[in-house]
Amino acid sequence: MASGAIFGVFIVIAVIAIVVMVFLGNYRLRDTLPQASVTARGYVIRRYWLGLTLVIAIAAFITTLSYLPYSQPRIQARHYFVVARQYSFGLPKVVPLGIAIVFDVTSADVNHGFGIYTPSGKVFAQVQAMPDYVNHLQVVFTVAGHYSVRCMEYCGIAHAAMQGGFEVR
Amino acid sequence: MKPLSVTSPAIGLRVMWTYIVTGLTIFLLMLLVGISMRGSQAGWWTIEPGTFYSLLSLHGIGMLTAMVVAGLGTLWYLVSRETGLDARVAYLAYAFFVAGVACVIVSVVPGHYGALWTMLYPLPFTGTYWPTWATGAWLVGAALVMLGFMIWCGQILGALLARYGGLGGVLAVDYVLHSRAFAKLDREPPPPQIFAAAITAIDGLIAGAAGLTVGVALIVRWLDPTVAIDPLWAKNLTYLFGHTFANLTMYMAVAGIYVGLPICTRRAYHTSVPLVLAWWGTLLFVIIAYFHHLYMDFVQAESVKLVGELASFLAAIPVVVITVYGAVLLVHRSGMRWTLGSMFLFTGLIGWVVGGVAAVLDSTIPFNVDLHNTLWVPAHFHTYLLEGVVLFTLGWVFVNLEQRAGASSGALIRWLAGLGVFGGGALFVLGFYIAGAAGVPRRYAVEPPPGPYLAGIATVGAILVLVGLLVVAYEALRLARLPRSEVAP
Amino acid sequence: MRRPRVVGLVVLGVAVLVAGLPLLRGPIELPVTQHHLLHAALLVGAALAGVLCGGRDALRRASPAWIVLAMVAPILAMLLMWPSAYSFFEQHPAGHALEHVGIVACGFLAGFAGERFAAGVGWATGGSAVLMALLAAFGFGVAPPTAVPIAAVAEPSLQPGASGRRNTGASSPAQPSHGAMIYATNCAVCHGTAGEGVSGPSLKDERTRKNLRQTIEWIENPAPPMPKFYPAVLTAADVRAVATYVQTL
Repeated sequence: MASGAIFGVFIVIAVIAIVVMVFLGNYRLRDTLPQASVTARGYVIRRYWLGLTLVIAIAAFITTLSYLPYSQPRIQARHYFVVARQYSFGLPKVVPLGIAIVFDVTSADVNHGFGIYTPSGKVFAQVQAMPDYVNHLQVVFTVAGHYSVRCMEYCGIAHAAMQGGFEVR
Repeated sequence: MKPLSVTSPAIGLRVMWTYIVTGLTIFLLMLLVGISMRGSQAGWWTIEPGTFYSLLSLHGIGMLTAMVVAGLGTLWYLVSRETGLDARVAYLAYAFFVAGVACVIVSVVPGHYGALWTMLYPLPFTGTYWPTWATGAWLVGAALVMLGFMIWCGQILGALLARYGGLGGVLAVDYVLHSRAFAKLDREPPPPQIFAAAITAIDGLIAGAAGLTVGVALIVRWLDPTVAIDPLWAKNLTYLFGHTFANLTMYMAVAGIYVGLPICTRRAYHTSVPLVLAWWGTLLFVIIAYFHHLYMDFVQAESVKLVGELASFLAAIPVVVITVYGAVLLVHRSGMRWTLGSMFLFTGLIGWVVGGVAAVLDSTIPFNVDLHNTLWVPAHFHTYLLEGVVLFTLGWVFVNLEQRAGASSGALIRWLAGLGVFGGGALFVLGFYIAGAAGVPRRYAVEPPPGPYLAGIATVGAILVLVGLLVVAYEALRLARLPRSEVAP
Repeated sequence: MRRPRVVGLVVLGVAVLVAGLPLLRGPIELPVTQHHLLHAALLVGAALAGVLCGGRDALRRASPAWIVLAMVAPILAMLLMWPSAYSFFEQHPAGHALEHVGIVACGFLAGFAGERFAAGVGWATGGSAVLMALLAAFGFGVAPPTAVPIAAVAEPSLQPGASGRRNTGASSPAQPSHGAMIYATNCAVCHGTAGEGVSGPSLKDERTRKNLRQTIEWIENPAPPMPKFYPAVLTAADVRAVATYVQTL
């Protein structure tokens, strides 16, 4: 899901939560009710609230299982070795469009982050670059153009300047 | 179990205020550091990257230590009301905190250390721009803070075990599993704030042990570069400690809700079976959720990542179903007056919920692909900390001051403080959220667009927070100077 | 003497005997992980002994020193598990046994001091010692399972002068000069692999703007946003080498 949509969902839920809480907190605040009658109804509602949140949590969890980025590299995929080091990426210059690609990402020194951005500047995919380990990031590029790469894990003084890019065509 | 003795309120309060005032002072200093960084990212002034990252390192560990110290002080006082506590141990732990903070400041200010507080091995040993002695000073300082924390946990755990009859008594196992027999024996479960203290102590000891393991390993590596360390292992332990340490600040501060809101609403808040079950859940989920920091380390086993995701989701349930819901019920139609105390406590609940929504979204693995290590991450934890923990702490401070003085603040002060701290805070975190959604990475001294523009908005928000806090500080001093009164505020 | 104390002393005795095992087995060679785990097992016995021996009369107020000892003891135990010292100890059984006794003492202290401080805390602090040793087994002094052969991979971004520019360096493109290597690692990201300028300005014909001395001065004392690489990332010799290289762009 694009991050803009995630932000939208966040704002909607946050605003609803704020409105509900402010309303319930202020509603007829001075027109008091004894605590016992508030809790009598409140605890009944709470049972449904618990049920609802549990269902949402479990359902959301199960749904995410179909969208995990941890696919097994298929043998037919083209592999590109990516080495991150302070402060540059060892990248291919051109990457083919439309076929399965696996970036085998590692680091020569400290932890880095291999963050791929689309030509329009949105996060496309990312994976950590850890020394002594190789992370396999499988992607398929469907849009041609210049993809930029940014370091996503703090790695030292020039972390913000650690960039690269490649062409997809 | 009969209490052995109860600490005198004077002693308990002195410990509490020592801790809280220290914590809030460090917080204010770290706020200035934070404004300097956001302003630099906005382009209002320039801080060169080395200094920026040193400040960021100080800001991270400083803010967390500040909130931990404030929370531990409140909990110590609340536990001391139920059972005798030796104040010497509290001051001993405090000494460790101060010594640790001093070492960290030395490592950053003259030392220019800049590996950040959740440093990932092989940082801070490779390609650094500061002298190696500064690395040692930082590591030793962090270890001293951890030791102080564990000493506090050990004292509280020991006191609770004695007072409530072992671990089962502290966690109210009998109360939940054999409630009828329990009631027949006229026994009472611990009050709600004791669960906050117990979970802090237990999870704190586990997290502290993990933190000391990686901390000692790094100190050994600092002294002896031939020692190998597995980077994935180091990252796991760093986050097991760091995640739990940061989350516990919230669960410490919530004691302010449990004790403070009943005072404001003049209603009672009792331990109930759902409350105990909620804390059992928190005890478990807070720690297990730490795996959500390694979603993008594909070498880590997928199974533990999924366990982390589920725990992250489930951790939200005790919060929204029991604590926040219960607090809203407490306030609803209670006749509560809005004072700075009640206002901060209530807005803190709002901040916790909003931060929680952002956190749950980020801990959803398919979303984490887009949000990991973007500014969304500081967005959600600044919401938790500034609009949650800090507000709970301020709320608790003011409930105490208002009770003691029998007075509260006028409408103008309340509006200025509320708009400044909560409103300014909202503007501040919004800068992070939008930038994170736009893909701006975190921990960038110089950000790509639209980072700088949003940093400008955020800096305005942060300055409003500072102004609001100055109003708050003025009002706190005014209330503290009033003579003690028996009248309710 | 009370029963738990007797049991505790027996367990301690067993732990000390086990600590002396190296004297029987002589020199050995163990993977670090296994060695750490064995030490963790030793700590289980020692900490248990400490907890059993440590119980006290509940009404006496405990000195704060006990809780400090209890929290520091696991750290000392970990320091005794210094990984680079293992190969030495494995070849010197007497020292090895002595080191084991030290570990037992730390584990015992962790449990004993904790329990002296408050009933039940000994389990937490003793358990902490064991937990730390267990955790340490999987990464402290342990290299990751498979190292990645980075050197074997050709680095397209590390070929300076590949665009065919005039190369006044004493080395051929196949053997980049020291200055060229430093440039590629630290400078190319902002100034481009051939000095054409990316986020930082172009360095082409920099010798017409700054001479060698001025280039060195700039690198040593840059103005933001140029990072300050000297003295922590680059030595004075490195700075001279890369400045010399930059003068050739």
